[in-house]
Amino acid sequence: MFYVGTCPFCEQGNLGVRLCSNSEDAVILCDECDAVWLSPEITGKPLFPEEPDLPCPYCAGNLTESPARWASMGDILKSGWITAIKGETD
Amino acid sequence: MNQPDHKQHKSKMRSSSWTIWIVVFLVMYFVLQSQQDKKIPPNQQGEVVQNEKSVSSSGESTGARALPPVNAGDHHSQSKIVKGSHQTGLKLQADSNASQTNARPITTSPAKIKLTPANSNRPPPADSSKSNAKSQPELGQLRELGGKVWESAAGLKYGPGSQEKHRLLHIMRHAQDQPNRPGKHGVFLGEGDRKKILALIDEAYLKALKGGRQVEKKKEGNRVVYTVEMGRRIGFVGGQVGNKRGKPSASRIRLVLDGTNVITAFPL
Repeated sequence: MFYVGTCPFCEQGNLGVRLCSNSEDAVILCDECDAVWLSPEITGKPLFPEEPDLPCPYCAGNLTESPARWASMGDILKSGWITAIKGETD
Repeated sequence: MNQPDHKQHKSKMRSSSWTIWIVVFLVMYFVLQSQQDKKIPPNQQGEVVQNEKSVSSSGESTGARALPPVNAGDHHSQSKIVKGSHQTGLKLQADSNASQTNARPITTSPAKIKLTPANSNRPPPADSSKSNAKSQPELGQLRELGGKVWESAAGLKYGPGSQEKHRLLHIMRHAQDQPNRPGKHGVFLGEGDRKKILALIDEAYLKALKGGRQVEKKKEGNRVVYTVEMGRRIGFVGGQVGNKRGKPSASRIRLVLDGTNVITAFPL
């Protein structure tokens, strides 16, 4: 998982680039507390999509069920968020 | 001529008086013996042994819960004592006491054993602490609510969600260190024992509900983040950052909740 930082809400989770299950919309998702940001600008307040499905904020898809997935380097290049990436977790 | 007859008569008298004394002694002996047998009938002697067995195995009726289970050797020695002590009931008690003091710690008094007959139909006295424990589940205990949702003793709910597909699995990710994980990764003490970890989370939640100086609360919509100082070491900080710092001790728990639904919990 490529991450853009540490979650400012729970202060523990890594913020990964997540693609939704429907139209591969990219969001920033905390892998600890499920807080969501719509872009790597994480200074604003997070969204908390409904548990446990985490519906996509853009479409009818969701962020949990396959084919929702963590973005690959190619996906991140496409999204234009490459500069926000801090590293990759195992 | 008369002298030998006189001597014979005297020796006869002596032997008959001896015989009488012996008979009297034997009669007294048997009378005493029968009296002692009446005091402890054979079936009751068996009960004493049973009594001691039941005390040593359950230990509940005498409050001797700390007693270790008595091994077969002890039972044999007790039955030997009873078999060999038909002569006096006092000896039976004294010997059994001696065997108890030799065999185990001094936690059971013989008086207590006497007060709890093995054949009593009366139910054992209700242990108030036990009944309380039954009525109030222990912290960390879960009960199923259906739909894969489990509720803890403190009222926290663990249901489907997270990358691990269930919150309980997600929480258990904090049972061990992930040294390669970027940033911090709080790890609970308790050697990966789920019940211990959930009990700790329950304890933190109850403390959070009480509030006070040791509780910080942050709210964002439905989400509530409690940071609770537990006042003791409850884990350590792992992950890349924690490992660089030598895995510092953690005495606080952070709870991220959605209402009463647990999203995550970890030490920090």
